[in-house]
Formats: sequence, C-alpha cells, structure tokens
Amino acid sequence: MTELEPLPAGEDPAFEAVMAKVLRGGLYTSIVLIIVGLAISAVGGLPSIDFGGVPSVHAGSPLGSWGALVVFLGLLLLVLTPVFRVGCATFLFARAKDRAFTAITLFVLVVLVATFVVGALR
Amino acid sequence: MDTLALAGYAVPIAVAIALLFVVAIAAGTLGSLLGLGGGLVLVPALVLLFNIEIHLAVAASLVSVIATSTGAASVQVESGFTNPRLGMFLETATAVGGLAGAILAVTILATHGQIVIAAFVPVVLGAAFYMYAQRGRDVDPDPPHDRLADRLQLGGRYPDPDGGGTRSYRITGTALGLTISGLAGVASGLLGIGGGLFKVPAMNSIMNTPMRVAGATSTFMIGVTAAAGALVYLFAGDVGLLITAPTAVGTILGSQIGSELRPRATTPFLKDVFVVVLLVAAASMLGEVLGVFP
Repeated sequence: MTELEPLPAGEDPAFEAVMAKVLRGGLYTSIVLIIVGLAISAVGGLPSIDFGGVPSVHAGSPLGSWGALVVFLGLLLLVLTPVFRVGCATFLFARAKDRAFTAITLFVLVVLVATFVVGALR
Repeated sequence: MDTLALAGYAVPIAVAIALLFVVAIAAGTLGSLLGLGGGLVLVPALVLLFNIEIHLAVAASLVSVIATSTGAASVQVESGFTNPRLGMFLETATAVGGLAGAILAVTILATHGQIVIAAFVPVVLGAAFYMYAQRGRDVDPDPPHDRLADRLQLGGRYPDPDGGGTRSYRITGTALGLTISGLAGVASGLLGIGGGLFKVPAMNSIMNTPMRVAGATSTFMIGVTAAAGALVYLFAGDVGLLITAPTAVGTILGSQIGSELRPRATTPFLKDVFVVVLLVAAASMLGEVLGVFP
C-alpha cells in the first residue's frame, strides 16, 4: 500500500483557510465602511471637514466629506486586500519552509510596489 | 432631486445608481464564473449610464475587478476550485507584464494607441477559435511532464461535481503559460482589459488546467493584477465615490452568485460563454480602433 503524498503548502486546507479568512476579513470590513460612509452622506448630519491631502474625497464626489472619507477608506481597504493576501502567503510559505514559493510571492510583492511607484509618478 | 441625462432622458440619480447596481451584480457574476474582471461589461455601462469620461469609468471598474476577485476567491479558495500555487506562480508573470504595461502606457499608448489595441484583436480572436475548436475537451489525464511544474508541485485536485470525491490533474506547458500570462499582464496594465481573457484559455488549453479550476484561479489572480493600478487611481482622485461604491458592492454580490454557480456550470457551457465573451471583446476593440465609439 502506498501512502498518500502530503499536500504542498498552498493546497492544504489550513493554508486555504487562512487565505479565505484574510480575503473575507478585508471584504466584509470594506463593505461595512462603504455602506456606513454612504449612510453618513445620506443623513448628512456631520459637519464638513477639510481633507487637504486626500483629493479623491473631493474629486467629482457630491458626497458629504465625512461620509466620503469613510467610503474612501472602505475602497482603499478593498484594493489593498489582494496585496495583504500575497503578503500572508509569503509568511505562510516561509513558515512551511517552501523556499521557491516564498521567493515567488516576495517577487510579486516587489513588482507590485514598483508598478504602484511607476503609476504614481505619471 | 438631481437628475442625469441618460440616453437623452433626464433620470433621477437614484434610478441611475440602482441600474448601475444591477449591471454590477451581472458583471460580478459573469466575471467570477469565467475568471474575468468584468470591466468589459462595467466600463461601457458606466460611460453610458453616467456619461463620464473613460478614465473615470476604468478607475471605477478596476476597483470593482478587485471586489469581484476578492469576493469570489474568499469562497472558491476553500471550496477547492482555486489552485493557489498555480495562481501565485503565474502572478509573477502577470505582475511583470502589468509593470511593463504601466510603463508602455505612458510612452506608446499616447501616440500609437490604435495600433496597440489593433495588435491585440487577432490574439483575442485566436483564443476564441482555439477554445471553440476544443469545446468538447477539458484536460489530458496524462500530459507530457513539465519539469518546473513537477518541481513546484503546481498540479492539484478539485471537487468533482458529477461523481463526488475529488479529481486530480497535472500541469504542463509552464514556459508558454508564463509567456501568455505576461502578455495578459501587459494588456491589463496598458488597456485596462482583464487579463483573464488570455489567462483562462492559456491555463486550460496549454497548461492542462480543468476549465472550472482555470476560471477560479484566474479570478483569484485578477485582484493582484489590478491592485497597483487601482491604488494609483484612488490616490489620484480619479475614483468617483458615488459611482464606485454601488459598483463595488454590486460586483461583490455578483461574485458570490458566480461562486455558487461554479460547481453547476459544465465545461462545455463555460467554454461556450467564454467564446461569446471573447468575440464581444474583439468586436469592441475593433470598434475602438475604427472609431465607432466616441
């Protein structure tokens, strides 16, 4: 009788559970922020404030600024979630001593940062 | 109440947002099921519904692509359809391609945009014909051995919706698969179209990934490809919050529907829908080259 080969990191249920948790955590928190932000804007009860450094909060947005800031934070968290996911994978692969995949995920993180820098310099 | 001009009629903003929400649900469902971002549906919808500039539509669509990806992956990673190792392996190529695309966008897109888009049309058509020709086939039970794929243990197993239990598959063709994933990254960095259009056919036909797994794995990857671009748009103030918020929430809902449908969608059905999407993409790219759209 042959033994079943152990599953490599990334295919095993424990790894998948952590990935799913990171993704769901980011997703649910951002949905809550987006909806709360929209609700604050709809009620319009908070005084407006000036967010000099965050242009998106103003740009083309008829939302009240407090609500807009909360929506903006929700969208920011949403956009960062896949990046967190890659970072968590790096950590998990390193812990599993899977050197090839630790390097692969680190490489992806570095290229993502470089792409953001190139885009931001435009 | 504020109104918008929608196809020549004054429409209350609330109605336009409700319409957008419905379109976003459809885009999220289709995107998460096929492994696409959904920008193909969202960008025209945003431009038509809100009469906004194309780059604002692309920005909202990029955020929603991430919403689709995260929403679908949060379910499909655990259900076993996503192959995270294969996804992260190919992400190296899409990330490099995305970086190249972002650089090219500043340099050649401004001057030779039409030519760049035209160059991608035959690739999209080729993928459509290739997928149609192989519609009855899914994976080879004993593909040629690929040293890199074997060493990195890229193969996997997924739940068998028909017989119960799991089915395993072996990955092959890593060199060509990486090359096409890189091109997919260039296309998304350059044109904003989802790299899934190229990745899914490559994963299935060349790398021997089952169609259901290819779709789930592409969806998993797309969020990473879109992240850098979306961040840039977000900080540049190009993400209109009023249109992006409902679009993102709608695509998240749609991605849950698509994930629910995945076990039930058969391979020939997925391939047929994918061929139609590829043809629509080719037509819309041709239209852009020929100047049919404003």
